[in-house]
Parts: sequence; structure tokens; C-alpha cells
Amino acid sequence: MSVSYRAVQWNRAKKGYDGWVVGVAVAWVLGFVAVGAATFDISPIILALRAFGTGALALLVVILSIGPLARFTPRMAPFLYNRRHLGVVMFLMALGHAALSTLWYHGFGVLDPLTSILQSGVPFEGFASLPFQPLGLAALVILFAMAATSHDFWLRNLSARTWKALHQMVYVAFALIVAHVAFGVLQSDVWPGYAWILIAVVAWVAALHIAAGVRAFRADRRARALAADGWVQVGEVDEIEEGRAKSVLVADQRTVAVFRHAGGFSAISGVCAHQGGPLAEGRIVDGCVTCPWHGYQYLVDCGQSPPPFFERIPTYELRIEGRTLFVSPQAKPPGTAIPPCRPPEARP
Amino acid sequence: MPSPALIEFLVESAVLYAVLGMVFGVAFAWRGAAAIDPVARRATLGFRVLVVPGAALLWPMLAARWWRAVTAEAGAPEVPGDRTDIWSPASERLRARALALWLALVPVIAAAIVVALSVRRPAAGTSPDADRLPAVLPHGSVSTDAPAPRGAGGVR
Repeated sequence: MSVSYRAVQWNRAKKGYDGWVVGVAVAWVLGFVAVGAATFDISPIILALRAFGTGALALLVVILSIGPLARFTPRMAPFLYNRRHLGVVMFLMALGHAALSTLWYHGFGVLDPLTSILQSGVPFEGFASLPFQPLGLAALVILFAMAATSHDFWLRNLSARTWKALHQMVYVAFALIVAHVAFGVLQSDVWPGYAWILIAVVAWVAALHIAAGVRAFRADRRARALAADGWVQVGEVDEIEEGRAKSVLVADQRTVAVFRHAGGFSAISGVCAHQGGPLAEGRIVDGCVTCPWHGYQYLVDCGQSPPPFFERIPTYELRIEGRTLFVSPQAKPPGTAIPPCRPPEARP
Repeated sequence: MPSPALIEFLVESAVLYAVLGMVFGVAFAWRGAAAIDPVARRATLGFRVLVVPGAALLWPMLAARWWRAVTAEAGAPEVPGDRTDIWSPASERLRARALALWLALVPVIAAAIVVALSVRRPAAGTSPDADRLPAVLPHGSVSTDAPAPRGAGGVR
């Protein structure tokens, strides 16, 4: 977590995840080149740059699909666990594509390669000769910025808001890459099915994000409608399983996770301080609420990460009337200890 | 479209920015990271190597922050956890911005695909032109058996 910085905070699960990602990426490139060389009379360099390009685009589509899918089904949450490593691998594949393309198409001229890329299409002679390589270059710059700032050090020191805004630029990078493909390889004499595949990919990613966004917008609107001074009904005490939580929306667009643990109930912010993970979808491990995204932990009764870590999140007061749980909409300062709320039969 | 002179200026500026950034990035990884973030004081060598590209990219902002950290008067001891943003207040704005971004990008992407497919006129025998040798050889000599370059960027 945050007691000191290391290059990669690997554990067994993350090593397994990374092993699969790197293995699939290497197998894709080698397989693409091997099959291509056996089937077509094409230079291995061309095959390799196409393997890197298609691999990077495929990984980007997977990365962009994980987030919204996880909002619809918790079964996708494990894929969020190490998504940033997936992003770094995707950037490295895009970099391989860019390096080989630059070497092959711009490395042997009188102009330096970067100037050559940016001057392609000058003067402008219509969309048929639109310079698609600068579009790819712009996308690569965005992907580089994201990969270079993917470490938790940057998340803390750029602030969560700035970091997230920077990383939302991946949507712009995706649009640039689609245009790069449409004005690049699709202008060649290639199988028309590639255009339909590209359209299907764009439709899939856009529909997922818009559907998830509309769903979140409606939930936020419901939260805003709640009275600021009224306690919010959570539900019946029996609804929440031991070690699990129920998510509740209160005023000021805040999500609260109400956990059941050792016969009592505690409410903490439903949003992890690390990257905003959904704590209510996590469970209690060794007395600590464990974020399903990256494993950050908080003591359930005070919202404080166990020593020596120091993340803290707000806590909320609870009360039980009959068998019904209510939560206060007023957040206590991060790390504030609140005794667990117990139903009558569990009180000493 | 930008002029060749402007492109040359942009490229030279970008190279200068990157070179200065790399020099700064090494210094930042060595000392600066710990100056602005106490958690980095005990960071590993691997972390310091990993932080260089980001520091090279963001060096003007980090230089200003490093300067402020060095010149700031000693105050109350900092609790690093207090600097961790609470996501909730920002999260609705972030979600709304993501939705707005997608609603804006979809017509742009759709228009790009429609335009690209409508102007598509692949000439027989010219593709995949990349499967041949580079059209422009070293020292500006042009290969006689490769298709003519399209613009300064060579073959598509």
C-alpha cells in the first residue's frame, strides 16, 4: 500500500495476472509473425509492426471494456485488480508499433523521422490523403503520459482529481487510434470486413461507456434528491451477510458502505481513497474492509488503514429502529472511530 | 495545415523539452521525489527508475513544486494520509465528464469513419505497399522499384 514506494507491489495474484498478460502479448506477436510469414510474402518487420498495432488496439478495447462491465457485474471486478499493468503492456505494444513504423517509413529519408511524420500530408490535398500517422503519434503521447504516471506516487502527488482527468484522456486516445486506422490501413486495398470490425469495436466500447455513464448519472441524481438532513434507510438488518456490505446513497452524492461484522454494523465511505474503488463490493478480511479493486484495507469501525499504512476514509453513524437500519447523511472526518451499532439481541 | 517551418520549430522544441526533462527526471528521482513526498524517502531503486519518465514529462510543474518544498518554512509535521484526496466529492463530476466526453466523441468518431470510408479509393497493386522496401532510401535517393512516396511521409 503506501508505507513506502517500490517499483511494483507484486503479490502472487498480481504476478499471475501479469504473467498471463505478458504471455498472451508475446504469443500474439510471435504467432502473428509466424503465421503471416508462412502465408504471405511480407517482410517480417511489416508483420511485426502490424502484430504490435493490432495487439495494442485489442488490449485497449479490453481495457476500456473492463471498467463499465465491472459496474454492471461484480464478476468483472477481478479484472480491474491489475488493470494498470494491462495498460502499461498495451502502451509498450503501441510503442513497438510506432518504433517499427517510424523506422520503416520514415527512417531512411532526408528529414528526421519526427519531422517526416508531422509533414506527411502537407500540403493538405483532401481527406483521402489525410495524414493518419500524426493521429497515431498524438494517441501515443497520451498513452505515454498515462503509462508514465501510472504509479501510485503520481496518483498521490498529482491529486486524485488531476490524475483521473489525465487518465480519462484514454477516451481521446481511443478516438485518435480509430481515426488512425480508418485513414490509414483502411485506405489500402484490404478486406472490407476490417471496416466492419472497426465499426463493431467502436459501437461496443461506446455503448458500454454510455450505458454505464447513464446508469451512474441516474444514481447520482437519486442521491441528490435525498434530503440533506434526514437519516437514510439502509434496509433490514438481516439483508446484510456477515462480512459483507450494502451500498447506500446519501446526500452530497456520497456512497456509504454499511458492513456487518462480528454481530454489529459499521458504516464507512463506499469509495476507496486509493482509486475510488467500490468498497461495498469488497468484504471483511482479518477485521478489515478490503477493496475489491486493489486490496487496500480499512478498519471497519474507524475507516483507518491498519498500521503502518495511513489512508483514511470518512465514517458514518448508524441507528437501528426495530429491525431497520438507518445511516446518518453527515460524514464524520476520515478516521473517526464509531462503535459498531448492534441490534437489540446482540447487545450485552 | 501547419507550415514546414512551424513543424520544424515544434519538433525542435519538443526535443529540447524532452532532453531537459530527462536531465531533470534523473535529479528528481534521486532527490526531488523525497522532497515533495515523505513516503519516497525510503523508496527503492526500482521506484526511482520508474518515476523518471513521468518526471521528464511533467518537469516544469514538478520543478516548481520541488522549489516550493525546499523553500517552504517548516510547519506542522505533514501526515501523508491527509493528502490523499477523498474521491466522493469529485467522483460525480468525473463520471459526468466521462459521459459527456463519450457523447461528444461518438459523433466525431462516427464522422471520421464515414469520411474515411467514403474517400477510400484503393488502387489495385498499390497495397499493401508497405510490404515492399522503403520508398526513400538513405541520402534521399529514391528506389526505382517502389511506389512513389505520398507526401513527405513516404508510402502509406
